[in-house]
Amino acid sequence: MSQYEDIVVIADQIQNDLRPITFELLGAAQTLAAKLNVKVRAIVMGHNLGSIPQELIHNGADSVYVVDQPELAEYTTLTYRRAAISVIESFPRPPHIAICGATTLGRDLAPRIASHFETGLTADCTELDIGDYEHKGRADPSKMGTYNNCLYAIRPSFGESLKARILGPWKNPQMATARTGALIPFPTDTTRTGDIIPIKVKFEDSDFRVKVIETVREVSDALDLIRAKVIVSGGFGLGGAEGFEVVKDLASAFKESAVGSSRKAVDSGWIPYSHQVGQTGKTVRPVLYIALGISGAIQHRVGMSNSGTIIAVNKDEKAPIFQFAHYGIVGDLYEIAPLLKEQFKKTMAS
Amino acid sequence: MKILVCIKQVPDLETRFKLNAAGDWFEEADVAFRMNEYDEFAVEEAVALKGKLGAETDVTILSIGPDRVKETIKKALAMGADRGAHIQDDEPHRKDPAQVAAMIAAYAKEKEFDLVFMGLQSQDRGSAQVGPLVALNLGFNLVTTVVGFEYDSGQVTARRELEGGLKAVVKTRAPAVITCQLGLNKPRYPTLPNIMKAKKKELLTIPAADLAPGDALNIVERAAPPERKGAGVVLEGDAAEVADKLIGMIREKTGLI
Repeated sequence: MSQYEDIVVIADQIQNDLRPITFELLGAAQTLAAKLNVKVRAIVMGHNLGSIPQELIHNGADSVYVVDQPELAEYTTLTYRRAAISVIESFPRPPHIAICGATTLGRDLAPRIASHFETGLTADCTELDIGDYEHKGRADPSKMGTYNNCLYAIRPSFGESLKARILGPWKNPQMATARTGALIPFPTDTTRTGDIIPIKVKFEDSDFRVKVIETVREVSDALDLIRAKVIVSGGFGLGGAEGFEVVKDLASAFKESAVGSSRKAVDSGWIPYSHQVGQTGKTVRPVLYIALGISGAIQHRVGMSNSGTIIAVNKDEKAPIFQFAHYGIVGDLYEIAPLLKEQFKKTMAS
Repeated sequence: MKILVCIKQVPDLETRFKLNAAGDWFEEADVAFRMNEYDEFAVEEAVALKGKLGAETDVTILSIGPDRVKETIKKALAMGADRGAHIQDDEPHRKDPAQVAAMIAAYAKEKEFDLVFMGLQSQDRGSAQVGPLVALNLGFNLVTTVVGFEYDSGQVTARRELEGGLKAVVKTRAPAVITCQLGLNKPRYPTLPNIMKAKKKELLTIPAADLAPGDALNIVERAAPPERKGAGVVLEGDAAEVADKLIGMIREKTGLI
């Protein structure tokens, strides 16, 4: 038996649909657990969860703690907080590590859990690791000493110009939220087995101070950015809705392609939300990503920086996208995109 | 009706950052600073609400940092806020989100704010933790990632942006903390007369130590520029040449041809 406690993963589900981040968290948790020789426990909260607990086992959870009650049908900070804390406090000792998605759910919930346990939380991590730490007492002399097998929470800072390793080794659970698309999911194995433990939570009237009136799905068309091999995306630099004609035209030259967009173009009403790539849109990993008139703000970058090859066309040579695109062209997208399409078609035909 | 808006001054993200000697932050010389983009929506929402509810609504802008953050507070005052509170802290980057939230809550306690607006996250550190923790510390209701907001005699109705194109409409009562997502509104530009007026508005400075931030729960052990994944080639020449070169790259790197 390990001297360390298990690792907890908070499953991310909206309307009984497990978000992809859940599988990535389970993958990362299994890697960390192997280093500590401990197990991975998932916590899932919701109502009428059906086969979701089993799905968590198949995707890397060694056991699943299930809170399935009508009060949890929709996410609210206070009800989910109470449920998560009740489960964690049913353990004899706090887990060594607890991780959540850097999603609207995780970012809302994790600070409240961390605060309850008076422990630190590192948000939006892109890597998680285990390692030792020697505190030399720069900030807190009373905590001087060596801390073994801490959570290394690694995350980008300043629009990704710096990468910081952040630790909070003083108290467990050591906590982090992780970005979608950054961690490697656990390979699904439908023969895996594990304990599914139902937990009943008693809520208080004060837990219902924020009420969800309705949850609406914005109309989404058939395109599937997540599965596309080639994505051509347009941003604010297009200058107007009609600019997306050029984007669509270039995309149509490639097989299995889709049209993406930056948030700013969606906010400007040039294209529906379903095309949005980025922090609050979709996280994509195509073979080829062509960004037309996209500045490359952090909001967009986190959704596409794992693409195989990134080509950026932008008039502004200072646009941040040139710091991480594999190929950058400082120039007029309206000149380059049609030529690129023509050349590509010619090449494919020959 | 009293509204608090918490704003942050952040480095311009187009800056090329150089690490400082301690290895936990960047060199501030030659870096331009501006208002965190998310906070512009928070200021606008507060000022627009004041416009609707009338002059007895009082909007306070709070910001933590060294002297330079006063410039950002003044911008928010020029957008239409009434007064500023500058929490003087020369090393705000050494504070973790729990400490920042503790300082804001210590300031706001007993001032009877009805609403607290702030950006969903900062552009530089992006922890998105301060809003939830301020709400907890003050015992206020919390609504995060807000893309639509209405207020009517203490009743808050807000649209939250969730993943996958979902939006949740939630209702709660003031006092509440609201964290603002990009696109919530259209932040106004301060006019010249308002910039002049802002210079005469109250701007108090409070030493950070007076607000007892407590100990850090987290430390930045080290920071480093990330390894570059791409070759970062800049292609030059006229459009036809560039298109030709790109075809070569696509052939070589992607297997699509």
